[in-house]
Amino acid sequence: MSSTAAGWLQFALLFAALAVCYVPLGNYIAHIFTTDKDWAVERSFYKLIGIDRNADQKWSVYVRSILAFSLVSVLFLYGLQRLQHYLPLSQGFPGVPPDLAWNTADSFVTNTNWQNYAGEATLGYVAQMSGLVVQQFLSAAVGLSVAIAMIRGFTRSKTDRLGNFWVDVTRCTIRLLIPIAIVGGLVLIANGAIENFSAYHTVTTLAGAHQTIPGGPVGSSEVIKDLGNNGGGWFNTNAAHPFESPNPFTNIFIIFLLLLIPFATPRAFGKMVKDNRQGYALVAVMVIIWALAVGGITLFESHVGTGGTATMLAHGAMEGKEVRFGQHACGLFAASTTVTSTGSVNCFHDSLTPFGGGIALFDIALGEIAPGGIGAGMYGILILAVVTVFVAGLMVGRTPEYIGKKIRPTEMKYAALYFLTLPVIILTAAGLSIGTHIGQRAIFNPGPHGLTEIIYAFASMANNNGSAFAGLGSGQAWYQVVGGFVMLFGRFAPEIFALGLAGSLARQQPVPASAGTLDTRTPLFVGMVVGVVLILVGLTYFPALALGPFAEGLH
Amino acid sequence: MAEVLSRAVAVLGGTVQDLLFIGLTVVAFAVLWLLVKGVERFER
Repeated sequence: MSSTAAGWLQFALLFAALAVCYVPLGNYIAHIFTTDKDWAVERSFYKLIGIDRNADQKWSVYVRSILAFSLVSVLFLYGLQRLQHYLPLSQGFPGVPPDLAWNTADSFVTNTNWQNYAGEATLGYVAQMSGLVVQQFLSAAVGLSVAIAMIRGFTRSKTDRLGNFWVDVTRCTIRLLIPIAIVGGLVLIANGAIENFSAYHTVTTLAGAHQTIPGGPVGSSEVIKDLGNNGGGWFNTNAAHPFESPNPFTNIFIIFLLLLIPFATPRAFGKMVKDNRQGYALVAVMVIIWALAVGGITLFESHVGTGGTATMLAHGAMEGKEVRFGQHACGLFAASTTVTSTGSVNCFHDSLTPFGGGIALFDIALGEIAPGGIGAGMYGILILAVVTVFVAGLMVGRTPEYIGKKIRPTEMKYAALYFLTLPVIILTAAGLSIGTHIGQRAIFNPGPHGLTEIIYAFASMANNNGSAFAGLGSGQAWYQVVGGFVMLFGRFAPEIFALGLAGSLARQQPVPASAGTLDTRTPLFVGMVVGVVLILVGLTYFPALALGPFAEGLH
Repeated sequence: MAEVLSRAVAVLGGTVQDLLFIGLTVVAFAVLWLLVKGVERFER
């Protein structure tokens, strides 16, 4: 079988596996957040932390709960890293430097997992497990909770209540993430991912050199890294490391994990709004954009015709690729990790061809919607659906309504604020870095490639992706501090606007569909959303894309 | 300002830097808190 056929077969199998899970997992997610029955362990937890599980929160109280929870999480994670030399199983590593500890705390609490450090050379086992891995569960649960609160904005009427954040985040963690993580972790470990608490071993190689073999509970960390769309690898080389992803099966299993919940969430949406076709329409938008991204990156990474002799001999642009997996698996992984907010990698994104890297950057700039980060993809695409309904209403004279709710100027203001926040953050941070001496000092590649690296870095941080183009000295204090702010504001400011929009929708009385209502369950609407997404993002980032990857690719 | 920030981080001792970053965290979340308040005011 040719490598191209194997690549497409891999994509088809992955698509089939995700399609099989769509209905049962989506129904289960909807059940988790709609049932009145608590599990005993949940009741004990609410009692322990003093939560009134029946308290329904306004959108502003819901979002303040998120902020308070995240503030405490950042401070705890910061302290844990700074004091890790006092912790057991620290492998002799000193406390993490303050600027790096702050950046890392912001990164993991915001579900970004941007890493300015090499995990195996910086953090001990307890700091990773009780700090980073715990946040990988909780930050994912926060994202999905926001999406569910947003959906309640459509399902509820004449109320200003969106649910209880503490109940949502607890249920998501206990009923969804932990069970799948246990099963997924066992699959990874059974296939060779390491799981131990051994000290690092130093061995002498056949050539006489000394090599340190790291250990750690990697399999149990790897699963939530991908399932929760986190991306922070135990090892610096992330999912290209054989201890994290030992073989081609684990490679495709990891991709499956990172797409699993985001692709099933539209089903939960359809179930909760009592119209499954609404879910099908949104998941169709996600699949189209994801498939375009996979096809695009794979095409450019495999295109031997214009790559020169070395590329032709290697049957693809193999620089920076993990040879165990090849360029097709790299294209599939790179597209899947950038259209979600995962950021884990199995090949080096800085080594992607200019247009392949440009697609990865464009994917991130889409803002986590296809299928996006866990939860973040759902509320992101809902806002874009609202924008599409409004634009369609202007174009063809239809009444702007979506799922029985009117899209009034108030809702559009929230949607516009949501959509403008990330470009403002990304382009301001990138502009400051390019325009100041201190920012320029970290740019190691001149010209368009250096520009792409900076834009990619801030786009990745702001969109809570976490993958790095690398080649940028992001470990310098400027990038640690600015990056920390970019991740915090990139995560929470859009969530504030999304929940504000949900609150505004929940207060409305539902309007029955009329002859003037645009049917949002049709292929026409799917095409319109895809168009709105691509045009909005394309226009917003066109100058950066033109001066970066396009200029490099056309040089 | 960027130069000053970078030098300050490098020159400050560990404990002072800890206080600086804890302060930055509180400031960031205070800004977000104020943003919520601003949106609430806009709603009215």
